[in-house]
Amino acid sequence: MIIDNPKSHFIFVFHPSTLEGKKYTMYKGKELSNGEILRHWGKWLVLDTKERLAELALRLDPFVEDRKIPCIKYDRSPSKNLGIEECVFMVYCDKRERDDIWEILKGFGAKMKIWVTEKETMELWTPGGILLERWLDTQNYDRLTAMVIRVNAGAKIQHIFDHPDEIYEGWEQ
Amino acid sequence: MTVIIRVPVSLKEWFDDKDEVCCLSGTIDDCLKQVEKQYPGFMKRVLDSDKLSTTAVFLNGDNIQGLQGLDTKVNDNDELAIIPLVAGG
Repeated sequence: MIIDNPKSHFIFVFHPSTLEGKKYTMYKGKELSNGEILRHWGKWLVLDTKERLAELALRLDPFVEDRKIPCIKYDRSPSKNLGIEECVFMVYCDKRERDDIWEILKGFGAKMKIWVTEKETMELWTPGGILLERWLDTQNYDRLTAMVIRVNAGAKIQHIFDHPDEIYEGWEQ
Repeated sequence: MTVIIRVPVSLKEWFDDKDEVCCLSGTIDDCLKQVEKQYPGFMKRVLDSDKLSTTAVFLNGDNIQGLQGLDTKVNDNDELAIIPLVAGG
């Protein structure tokens, strides 16, 4: 089902059970641990206009309902302040299933093959990471607030690296 | 046989408004240098002053930073994708 809350920057495609608290970070029916997330979890990216991505979301929704695709999220509008003109569509899955999911995406016209691991993403959002620092630059926070955000982000990511056997709890969106 | 290099709309201006160009196989560095001859300034745009700090290059889906970087071998029919690093964070 497509979750389009205008207050969120992202539009989501979830299985209905996700709204009931079930995790989508699963592999073969088992919830993934932090260590497994770092080793296996990631996303295919599709970059396109909001309109084309909305159409793609509609076409892929049945695959999410069938649990062939764990989760999708995409930008409501391009992050132009970060220098990108397209909206980004993120199709999350375990690397061990990514080839099957790429074939689905290719069938709907995806051409650019871009796989980003969750570990890479976390490194970009860690204090000093390019994405966190660029995002903070766009938010006009005072120095103290920015520092608190850095500390919290760093602690959360470090916890994931330090506790590989815990079940992965995900991020607030 | 060649290697295809694809870019999204926001980078099409690099290639005179085309979203893909070709190069011959070798290493990724060889490929980028071939494209540089056709589109002067391309290498600088990809590499920036801080080696892949503003763009990310993917070979058949995988970020080359996790492979052998610019020394990664590319073969006929391989596909390179270049995107702004901010995408998909």
